[in-house]
Amino acid sequence: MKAWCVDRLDYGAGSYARTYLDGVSGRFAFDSVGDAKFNAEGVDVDKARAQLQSLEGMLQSGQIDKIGSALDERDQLRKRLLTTDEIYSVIRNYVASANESEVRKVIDKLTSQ
Amino acid sequence: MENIQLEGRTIEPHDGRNVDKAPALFVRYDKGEGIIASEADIRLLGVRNFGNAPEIANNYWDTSTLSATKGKDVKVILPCETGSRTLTESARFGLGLINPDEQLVNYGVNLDVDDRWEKLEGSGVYTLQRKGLILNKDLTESQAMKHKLLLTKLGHPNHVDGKFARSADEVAEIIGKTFELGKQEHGYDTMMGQYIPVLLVIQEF
Repeated sequence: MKAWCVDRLDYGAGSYARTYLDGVSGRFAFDSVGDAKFNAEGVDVDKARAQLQSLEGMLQSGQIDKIGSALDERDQLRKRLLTTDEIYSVIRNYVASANESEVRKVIDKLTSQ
Repeated sequence: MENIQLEGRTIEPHDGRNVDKAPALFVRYDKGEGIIASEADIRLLGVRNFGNAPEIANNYWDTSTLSATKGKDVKVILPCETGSRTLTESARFGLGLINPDEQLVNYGVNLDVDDRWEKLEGSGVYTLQRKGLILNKDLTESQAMKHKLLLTKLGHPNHVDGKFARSADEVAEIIGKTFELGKQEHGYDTMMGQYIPVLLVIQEF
C-alpha cells in the first residue's frame, strides 16, 4: 500500500503510487483548519465540528452526543435562513436604487451567522 | 518550502519521509487541526489557484488518497466523504500503517499480513481491475476524462458512491484545467499518467 503522489505540472501532473514511503523526498500537504474559511468545495469549514473531534476522550460520551445534537439542530436552522440576495429580491421594488448598498449591508448583518 | 495561504486556509508542506510525517500529522488531525489533503483536493486547489498560488500546481504532493495493489486488483482508498474532514475507517487504518516501525515491502506497506488487504474495505474503498486501465504512460485529455482509476480518485459520480462524489463538472474542471495549464505553460498534449508498480511474473521453464 502506498500514498498517491500528484506530480508537478512541468512533469505532466501524473499520479504516482508513491515510490518510496521512506524516501527523504516525501512531501505531504497538510490542510490546516486554523483561519480556514472554506474547504476545497467552497463550503464553510465547520470549525465547531472540527473542534468537537478534539474534545472526544476529554468529555463523557453523553456530553459529546448532546453537543453533536445541538450542531445538527444548528445546521437545520441554517438551511431555513434566507440569503441577502433572496431577501433583497423581494424588497427591491420598495428601495431607492441609491440606498441599495446600505440596505444590503443591513441585511448582511441581520443574516450573518 | 513556505506555507501557502489561500483565502484564510493554510496548506502546509511537510517535507521528509512519509513514514515519519504521517504519524505526526495524524496527531494533529486527531486534535482537529486539519487533515492531509486528498489527491482530488490538492489538484482542485492547484488549478483554481494557479494565478495567485502557482506553487501548488508547480510542486509534487503526497496525499491521503491511498493505493493498494494485489495481483490484478487495485484498491483506491478515498480519505473522506466529499466536504468532510473526517477520515473514513479504512483511510484511518491505512494511514496509520504508514509509520517508521513498519517493515516496508517494495517500499510500501505490506498488506499480506494480519488480513490488512481484507480490512481495506467498505466506505470509500473501490476495487478496480488493472486490465483495461491505461497505466504507466501519459494520457491524452480524452483518455484522462474516461480513465476509471483517475475518475475514482477524483470522485466522479459515475464511479463512486454519493457521499464520496463531487459533481461531474468539477471533475471535468480538474482534468480540463490541468491540461489547459500544461499546454499553456509547457506545450504538453499528454499528461496525468497513472503510475503504479508493474507486476513481475517469474516463470520456471
